[in-house]
Amino acid sequence: MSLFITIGGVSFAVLSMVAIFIGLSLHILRRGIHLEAETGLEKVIGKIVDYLCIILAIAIVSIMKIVFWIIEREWWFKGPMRRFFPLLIAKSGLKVIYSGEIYTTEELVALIENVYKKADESSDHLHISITPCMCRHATNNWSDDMPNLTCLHFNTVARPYHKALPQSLMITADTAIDLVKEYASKWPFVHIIYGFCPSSPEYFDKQESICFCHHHCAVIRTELKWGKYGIHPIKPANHLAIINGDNCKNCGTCHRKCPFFAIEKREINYEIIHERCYGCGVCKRFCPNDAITLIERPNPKEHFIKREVLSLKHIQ
Amino acid sequence: MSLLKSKIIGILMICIGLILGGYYTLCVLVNGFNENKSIFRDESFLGIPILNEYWTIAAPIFLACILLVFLICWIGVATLFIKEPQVSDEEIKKVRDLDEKNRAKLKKQ
Repeated sequence: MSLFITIGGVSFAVLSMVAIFIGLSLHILRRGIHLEAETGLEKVIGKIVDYLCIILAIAIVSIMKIVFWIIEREWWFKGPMRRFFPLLIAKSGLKVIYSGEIYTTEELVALIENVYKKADESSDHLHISITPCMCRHATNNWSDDMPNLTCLHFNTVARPYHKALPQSLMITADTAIDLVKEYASKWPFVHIIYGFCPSSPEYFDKQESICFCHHHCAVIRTELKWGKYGIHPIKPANHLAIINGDNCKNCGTCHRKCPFFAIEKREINYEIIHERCYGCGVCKRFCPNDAITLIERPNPKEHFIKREVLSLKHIQ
Repeated sequence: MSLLKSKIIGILMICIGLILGGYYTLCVLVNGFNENKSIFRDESFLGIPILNEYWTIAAPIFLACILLVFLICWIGVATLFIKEPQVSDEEIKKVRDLDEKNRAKLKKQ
């Protein structure tokens, strides 16, 4: 059994490194080509990269199925692999494939307005598309009460996903803003995902997609499964939830709705475990007594996206 | 139409995986067989014929390549049998209408 785990571990490490290598190569190649494509050869290479992206996009749900299978297996962290894996895979590979951070609706709206609404329509980079939720597609968990057409893709991945995935649409920045507002009002756990598909970092840093996932979200699953081993693929929002004791009627709605199981029942009331709170705001949205407020996180962690892009003055 | 694309890509991935994997396996095995003829038994580690200079280098690379091929085929099979997303027509129509409205507004501006 340990031999099997070792072989599996080594192979997974090799494959992850290959995946990272391909991803980074595509990223660098694409970035260079799209910014300075002038000569014939570069255009040809650009076309090849485009087709590779479309093939990757067609196979993305299958790849996600495999990633889901991998993240569900805790034995990566047990036995002989317990030292090897967290270092080699989770600290590098997993974050390349699945990493993200939580944003508020206002922050996202500001982000789209500041980057996409000002964009020239002929721009080769600033596209937006919407596709069916890929996490739900990979797990076949379609929602009855929530919208399923919820994956917003940006930059150079928008077109490949639109071409590759059925029932997807290319949309304008205004539509994206309307949808962000609508979906976030239903389920405010809104987060940005960074994939290893190539993007245009000069416009939107490394952002690829905005997700409005439910409980079967890949990052939630990874966080819940691997968080106890110190692997945190998702960065929390810059605020925390607190319960206002006067308004709270101890109905337990927040306890049931929290995607990160951060609210625990005590003898007489409910308590938010701040180490587990990601500031997604789901509890606040569903609280029938308006007993939860979001406060500034005391020590906000470093985020991937440059905060100056947000231009928070715009919100005020 | 998109499901047809998935099927084509799935079959292509399986074919490419099998052809490349088969060809590479053949190359490694035939080369190994030829090399084995020219390697003295004394040069093998502990005198075991398989632990010679050729296989100690070729075997790990072969394993890594075969695993890559296996992954390509696995993704190919999963892509081949992918199901259609279950998004209702009303939902798509709603987003499309909203987008058309916004595009019309943009044109007016």
